Amino acid sequence: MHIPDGYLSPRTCAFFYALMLPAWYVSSRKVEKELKLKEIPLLALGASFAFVVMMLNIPIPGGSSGHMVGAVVVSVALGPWAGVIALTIALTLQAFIFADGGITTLGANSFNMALVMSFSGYYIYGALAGRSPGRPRRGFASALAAYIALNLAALFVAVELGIQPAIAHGADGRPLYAPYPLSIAIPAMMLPHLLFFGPVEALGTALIISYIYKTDEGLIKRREGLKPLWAVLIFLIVLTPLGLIAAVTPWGEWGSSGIKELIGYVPAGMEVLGGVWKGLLPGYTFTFYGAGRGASALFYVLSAAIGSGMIVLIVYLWGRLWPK
Amino acid sequence: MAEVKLPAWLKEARDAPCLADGKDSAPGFLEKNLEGIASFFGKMVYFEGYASKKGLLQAVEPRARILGVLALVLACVAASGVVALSGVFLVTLAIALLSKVGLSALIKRVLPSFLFTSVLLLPVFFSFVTPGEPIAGFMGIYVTRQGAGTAFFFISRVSLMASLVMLLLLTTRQTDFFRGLRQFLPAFFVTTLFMTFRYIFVLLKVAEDSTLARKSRTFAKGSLRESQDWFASRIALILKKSLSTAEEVSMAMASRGFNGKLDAIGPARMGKKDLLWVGLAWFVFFLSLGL
Repeated sequence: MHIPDGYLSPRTCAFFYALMLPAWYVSSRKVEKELKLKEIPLLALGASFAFVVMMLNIPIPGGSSGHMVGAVVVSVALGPWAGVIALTIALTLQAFIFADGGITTLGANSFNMALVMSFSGYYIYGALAGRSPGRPRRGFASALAAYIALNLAALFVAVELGIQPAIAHGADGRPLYAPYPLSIAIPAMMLPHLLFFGPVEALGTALIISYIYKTDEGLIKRREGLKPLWAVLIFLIVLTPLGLIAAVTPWGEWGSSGIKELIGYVPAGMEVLGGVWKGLLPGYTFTFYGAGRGASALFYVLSAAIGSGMIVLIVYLWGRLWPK
Repeated sequence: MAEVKLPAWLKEARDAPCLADGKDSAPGFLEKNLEGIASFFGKMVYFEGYASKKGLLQAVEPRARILGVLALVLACVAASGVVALSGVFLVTLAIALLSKVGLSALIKRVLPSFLFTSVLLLPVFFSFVTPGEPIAGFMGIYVTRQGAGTAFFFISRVSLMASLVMLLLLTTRQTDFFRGLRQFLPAFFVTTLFMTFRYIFVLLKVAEDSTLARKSRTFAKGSLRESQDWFASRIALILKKSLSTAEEVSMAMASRGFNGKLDAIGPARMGKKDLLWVGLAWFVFFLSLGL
């Protein structure tokens, strides 16, 4: 998961440092507000804990063992903001003192493992576990949160590596940094994470969180509301019209005609199955409405809102139906 | 005195040796964890050895050392051609020799990174990933000139950057390193970083002690479920230890008058040789941009 030095172009490294600077600033302000004088020892010990969790092997079926990132354990224990700081400090130490990870890629690594994993894991866990969950539900919520958070972080790593050949190449078209395109980087990164590392992370996180709740609930930070999650969701919905500005079809979302344009023919199976399911809102528009650009943008936003609403509804129903 | 009656199962003679007969078996998670912790502690001692030698990098003030090595790392990232990368390689080689860091020690430290990247880049050599002019091949699969060029360039860049970072780590005492970092990063961050570094050892010692305690009481492999429960309980113990230590440290700091402000001894003035080193390193960086 750690991207070493030399894999990302200077532009990408600078972009992620620029992206993380406000995140680090906001996190430290939030933590300062919450923790006051105690902040330095608590953060330092939290970061040491994150470091140690990353180092230890967890026993897995088959007599083997595996490592976990532990970001969800850290963020559930300390809160997501302190989690960002603690994991960033652990990653900085790994890069500077133990030469694990990179110095130029520290911004990107912090984005993937400290920010994405910490926040997604924390809020997915909060949404799934509800207010006072029973032991099985808590175990399931923490396992799923860790699984999704790790795979989300892995997807970000894959995209960061996969875009390098397109954005940084020599005059002769030769890739200068990570050489695999998205079509190779995504499956190469995602398959092991979906099939092996994800389940290990899920197992480890569920075991640790369940144990802590069983023995000493006071160790876990009281959960924040889901307000920040709503803010992120609304922000993403507002951003969706940006997709309309893009001139090309998103990668992997080609229709039959797009496939024909790209590879010259349509695979037989795709021809048979393509178009069987039209979707509730085909093409993200209501078919009875005109196809004007403004109207499309409006319905694109509306479709995103409906999609997000459905997810929220599923999560809500999940909370109501799952036995406490 | 009453006669001691042994249970029947204890008097049974068995042909098979008992489980704890010293048979070699694949290392379990306990052994791997102990090995990992031991290698971590060993690495720290190993690092300190080179820092006390009298060499080029060791003679430069820590702040200038970090700034100079950073320039060379950036030169590697920015290099887009073989000439620039070869130039940085020669400079790195000269620095390693003048800093009395043996090449074998450096290679040994960089080898894992080199091997990892080489394995990862293996498919890039071949025509199915990088089409181009074939050099050698069999059964329709060829190593292409373009593929080999891309892979060699990438592997060289990554290994060179790892060597530079390793040179900095080998020639710098941890205390000097944090003192140097304080000039570039906020005091709050560096203090937390330094404290983290110190407490990693404390927490790892807790982990090592508990793992060793379990291993010394183990004569047969436990069930997976039991091992996992034990693992979870140890992580919870480490978390508990972290939070209680944080509480104690913050109380100790408050009782000694800590008011949230961090004062540190100001940096030593940079001498001529420090400035010369920084100037030369950044000169290499700017040269690499145009090559």
